[in-house]
Amino acid sequence: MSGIVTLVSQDQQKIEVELNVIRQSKVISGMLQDLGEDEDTEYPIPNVSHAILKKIIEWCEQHKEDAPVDDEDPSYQEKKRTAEVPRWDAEFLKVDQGTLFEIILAANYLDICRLLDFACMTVADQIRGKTPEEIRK
Amino acid sequence: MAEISSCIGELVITPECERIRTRKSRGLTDEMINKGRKNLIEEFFKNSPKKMKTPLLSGRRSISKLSNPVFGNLIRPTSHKTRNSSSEDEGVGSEPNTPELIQRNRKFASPAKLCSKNLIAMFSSPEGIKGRNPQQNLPVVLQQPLPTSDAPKSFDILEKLEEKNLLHIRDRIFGALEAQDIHNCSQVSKSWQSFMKTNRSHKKTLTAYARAMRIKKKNLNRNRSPNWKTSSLLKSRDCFANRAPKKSPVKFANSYSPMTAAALRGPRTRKTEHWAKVKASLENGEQIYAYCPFCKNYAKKTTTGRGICIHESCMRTFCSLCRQAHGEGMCSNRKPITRQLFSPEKTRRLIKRL
Repeated sequence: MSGIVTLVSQDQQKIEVELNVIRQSKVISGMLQDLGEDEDTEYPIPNVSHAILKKIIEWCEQHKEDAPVDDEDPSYQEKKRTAEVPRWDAEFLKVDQGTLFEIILAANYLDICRLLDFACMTVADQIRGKTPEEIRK
Repeated sequence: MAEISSCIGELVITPECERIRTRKSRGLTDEMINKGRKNLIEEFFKNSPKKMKTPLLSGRRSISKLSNPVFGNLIRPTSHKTRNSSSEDEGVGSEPNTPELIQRNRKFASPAKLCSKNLIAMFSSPEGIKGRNPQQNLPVVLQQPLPTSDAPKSFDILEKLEEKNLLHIRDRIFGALEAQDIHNCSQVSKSWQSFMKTNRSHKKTLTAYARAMRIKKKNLNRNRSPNWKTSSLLKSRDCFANRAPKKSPVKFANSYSPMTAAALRGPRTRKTEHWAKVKASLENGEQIYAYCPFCKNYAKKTTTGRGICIHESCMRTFCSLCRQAHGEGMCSNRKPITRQLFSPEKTRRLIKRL
């Protein structure tokens, strides 16, 4: 058991990731449990493109030491209301609207709660304090 | 001719050449020119209109037209002095007026011909127009591709989320916003507004915000001076004070207007209190008459046959026949007032409900 799994993106490109990194995704960790953590097994991620999957792995590597989060936990819900986006994540999510949308979709698909929350908060920050005309732009 | 030659010196055309060209342009045939039939030429010139001028030799104006900056690169600006130097550079020869040089320089004088030659060459080429790159000779600004109408102006994440039926993500985004931001979002577009109205929590937030804004506005008005609305009207009335004749105060007091009636009416009492008084007067056997002519409140009939206003602030008496405030003498109007507000029986029946 080397602790490395292979993910196959939408455009049939393979990416090798460490197990402890990708455990942030509940979907992939569920797949690992179901299919077994074999080195030869390839885990398909059909809804995520190669570039976005790379970005998500980059985020997961940064947050690999964080404890797993349950979205329905009330303490996390309270934290979420008051918390702000950390600086590294704010810089990570400073991308164009299309990429941000893709990241949101991928985080939703892979069930990475924290990334999804940060992305949603980034969108909310873009709206906050603006007039309707400014939001339209 | 010397003048003409000096004018067209820029174009490097000799007077002889121009003479031939003039004749051709005036309709003279080659035979007439070659044979040199002077008589015929003289006759032709005599018959031709006096002010007939060729476009090229009509003076400095025509030359200035040719030296238009549109064809500035095609017309070589040369004088007699520069012509020699240019010929030396090209290695043609030191003589300025050689026929070869004239023939070659002449093409600079007719840019239209040059253009037409290029066009003919372009059309006659096997590649044709399609073979040439039309943007090759354009300026840099025009070579850039124009933005197409199909290109999206802005990327609406929220609408895309709705298309993908990911409404819970949209809730997360709006959940992080405050009431004012949600109110601003509701004014962005119809789709956003409809979403705000369909979502229960956002709708609640919006109504609370609207209520808070209404209260804030009311408080703002309350903090203003009590006559802030009428003060502007009074100011505008003062502007017309010089134009309109002032009314006498006596006349103003006698004439009825809703404003005066409201002023005389005094502070409002509750309806129940008022009707209680009416009931008491009816129980005493008094008749309730129609409105008081002064304050427009209800009035009752006294034993002497006069009317008296019920209202405390008014309490005026008036004649029940003519409804005028004259003395107790004989009234000119013999007919009594038939109009009563209620008949006593009917009124009592209605007042039972109280």
